[in-house]
Amino acid sequence: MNWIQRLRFLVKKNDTDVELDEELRFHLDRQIELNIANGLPPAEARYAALREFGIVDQIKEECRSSRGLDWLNGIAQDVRYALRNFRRNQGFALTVLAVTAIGIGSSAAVFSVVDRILFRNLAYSEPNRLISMGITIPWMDYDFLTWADYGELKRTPTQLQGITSWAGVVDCDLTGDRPLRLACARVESSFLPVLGVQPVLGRNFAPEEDRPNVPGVALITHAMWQSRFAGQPSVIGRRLTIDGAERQIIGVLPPGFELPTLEKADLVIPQALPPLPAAGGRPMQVYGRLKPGATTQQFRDSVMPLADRIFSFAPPQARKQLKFQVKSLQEMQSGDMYLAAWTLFGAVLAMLLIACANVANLLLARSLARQRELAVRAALGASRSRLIRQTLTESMLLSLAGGIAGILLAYGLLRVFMYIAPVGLPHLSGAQLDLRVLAFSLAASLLCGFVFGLAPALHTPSASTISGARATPRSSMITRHALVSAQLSFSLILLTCAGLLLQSLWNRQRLALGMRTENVVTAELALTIRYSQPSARLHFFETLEQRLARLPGVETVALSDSLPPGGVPRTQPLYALEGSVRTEAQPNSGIVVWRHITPGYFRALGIPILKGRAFTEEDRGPKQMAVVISQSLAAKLFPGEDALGKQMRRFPKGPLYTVVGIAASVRNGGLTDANHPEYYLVRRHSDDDALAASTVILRGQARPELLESWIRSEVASLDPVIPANIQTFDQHMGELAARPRFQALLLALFAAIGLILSASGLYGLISYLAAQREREIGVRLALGATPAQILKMILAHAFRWTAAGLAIGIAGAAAAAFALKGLLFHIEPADPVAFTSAALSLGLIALMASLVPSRRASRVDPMTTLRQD
Amino acid sequence: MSKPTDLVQGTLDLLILKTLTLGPQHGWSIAQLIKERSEEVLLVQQGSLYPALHKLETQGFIESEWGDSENNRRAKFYALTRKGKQYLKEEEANWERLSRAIGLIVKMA
Repeated sequence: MNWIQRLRFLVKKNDTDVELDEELRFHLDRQIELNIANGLPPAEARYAALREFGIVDQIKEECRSSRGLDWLNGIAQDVRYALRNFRRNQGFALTVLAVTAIGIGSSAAVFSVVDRILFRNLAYSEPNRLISMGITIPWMDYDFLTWADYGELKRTPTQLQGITSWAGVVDCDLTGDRPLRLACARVESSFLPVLGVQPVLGRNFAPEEDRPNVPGVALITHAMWQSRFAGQPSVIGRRLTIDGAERQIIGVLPPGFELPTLEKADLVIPQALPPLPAAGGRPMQVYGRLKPGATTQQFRDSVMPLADRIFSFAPPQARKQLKFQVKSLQEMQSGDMYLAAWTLFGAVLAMLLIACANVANLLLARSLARQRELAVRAALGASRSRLIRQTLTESMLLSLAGGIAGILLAYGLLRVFMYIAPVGLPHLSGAQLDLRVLAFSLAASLLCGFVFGLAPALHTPSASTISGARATPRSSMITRHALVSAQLSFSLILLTCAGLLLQSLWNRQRLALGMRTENVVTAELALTIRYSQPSARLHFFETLEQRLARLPGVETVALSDSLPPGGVPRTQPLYALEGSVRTEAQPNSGIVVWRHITPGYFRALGIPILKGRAFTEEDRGPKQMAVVISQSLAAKLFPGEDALGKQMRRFPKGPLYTVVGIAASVRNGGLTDANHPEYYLVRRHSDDDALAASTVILRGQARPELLESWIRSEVASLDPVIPANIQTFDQHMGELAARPRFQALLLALFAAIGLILSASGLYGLISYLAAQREREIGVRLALGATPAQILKMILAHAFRWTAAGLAIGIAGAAAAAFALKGLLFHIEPADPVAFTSAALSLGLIALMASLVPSRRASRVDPMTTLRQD
Repeated sequence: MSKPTDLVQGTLDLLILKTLTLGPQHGWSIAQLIKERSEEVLLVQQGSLYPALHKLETQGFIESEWGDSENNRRAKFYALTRKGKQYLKEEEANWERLSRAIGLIVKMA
């Protein structure tokens, strides 16, 4: 019989069933006739024939299955039956659905986020062969090689197939009819080929075009091509005026193009290196593509002699701080997000397990309640495998439905993540539910369905249970208890980790900054190319400073090149500084931060001057050489003496500055423990001190919104096209804590959901147990037990399993806490308070969850329960 | 109810097919014929007969047709197909070999 016939049988199932009925009935009738012919009375003849015949339904069932359409038929039947069951038990089905959806939804959403950080390949061809190399020094935020060193590396034979460099992203201005501030990535001509990126239109630039003083060229991003040139192919050959110079568009980058540092760029332009110098030259970031089969380690070994040679030129004091790094591009890109992403992934797995255990318990409880029904079905001829299939079908159906609901939930959650996530989290903006994520959720839901479907299915009763006298099999009760304990232990892990992260967040935000930040509004300004002349920049900022100072309600106006505690301050190695005792600075003593400020800075940020004075207007004379140093720097440069009035150099043989004041130390290493010595130079009325980018700091009693709008209108009246990023100082601080807050928030969310799930699991189990033992309790009460004793008995039982869950949970939490050590701040992974409070709160919630059903059980009326059945 | 073993199942197939060489039969008469011809030694249960018939039909060794029975009632008649005759030949040969082998051992002194 072929497939079509089989299907026809399935469709015409009723017809074949009728035929089968008729066929068997004919047989029966003939047998009866024969019996009568053999002389039996009609009634007895009929009875004998029937007895010989056996169970008609079973024969039919076997005939059907011998036709080989049974499984298809059976599944349809199972599904129909399951749906009818769900309709009858809506509460149960909805609970399972909700728990599955939460588990799967949140794991799919988190997987979409971490997938791109942890597992996805970079957007280049064969990305695992791409490496980043360079010298790491504490005061540079990327690894680099100088132009000369890079030239030498290029000449050295290595395991590299290709090597390339770039000079990072800079602001550039598109002038002309629609002026725009853009980001330009300056790269070598080999940059795109080494990464394996092909322009979708036009071409990459040639080495001859990557030189100074040749006609400029540029590649534009796909997004810019679409938005500014409406995706027309004629864009090739068009001219753009970038920073006052004409560039010809020669190519369009593919849609998914991203820089290895994930910085945003609108244009890719040649870095136009000058001729190779004998030594030094500008710093550049260097990437290479390994030859097929070559390993990073082989390459590292082969370049070490070169690295040693480079370091031999470095001043001996500095050598200790230098390191030649070779790492995969992926590792370079994810950086510190790696640990955070793993944490998130672990958290969501824990939650998925809790949800799974929870649903397993629900199904198990239900299958126990249905034991009698299943026993009846077994007695009516359903085989054991058939019953197992039925139970599995139900749970798979539930988890699939839960999975679909979960995918919808994941979609919403991902939106929420993107909304609350800090800027600069790699890849988050591109995160979306794609096929792989969908496959993950589907696999997760089916696995869940299989796992928690199997547990009840294994308890499918044999026909002997039909009497229903025997209550719950002991093994299943142990499974159920173990599942609740597992939920509790995973909850404890989540709770402890969330507690540690929240405490870290709190520690970070409570960090003494050393300044007063209330009533302070800041505005970051970056001047456009119109201000290429230093005098124009100087004029702009000095006018702005004067105008803002005249506004009512403004107490102090200051300009600085950067803002503590984060920002990007200017730094230099400490050993370069010369105070009275230069030698005191150790070679590996770290870095010193410095800022270029106007006299109002200390008052605007409320930084106390401990000795001497702050800058005055007189210090701004073009020839003045005043410096204010922080207390910590004073202790380093002038140990044991009064630094005030002393002189210092910023670098060997540099000009001398006179220390006019000593300021209190301010936190300047971001929200971390790194706190560097610092000095301040005043912005003089001199072209030498004219910066293109500055931050305005405004302290005033007026409302922040008012101050913000004033700054905006004053800036606009000077130049309407200058973009200004205006925010209160507290908002600026908030941005710094954004990542830790995001991590702590998500983990806390998972911990909360996990807690609710496991508490409800415990509640359900204790209620069930109490209901099962109602008769026993009734007897005990009737025999004189007090309700308090009953309560104690049930609670003691709950406590045993809770304690087991907590004990395992503490062990797991300890392991997890040590794994996320890198995310913690001012708190030890083994913080006793975090562990005790998590265990106590979980224990308390477990107590509440078991107290309610226990109390109910202890108050049963013995007479009612004893009269039942 | 225990399932017939493969041997019994296979033998039943052989018995049914052989019976059908007498011409198209319905289920009841197949059972009766097997019973009579085996001198009431082989009793085929309905619970085995009908599943076996349906399976043989699915495998294409027999085909069925509704027709009038000896007492003028509608009954389902089964008949051998060409494929079934071929299969029967093989099964008979197998059976000869098997029963000869068993006979040799049983008759062993």
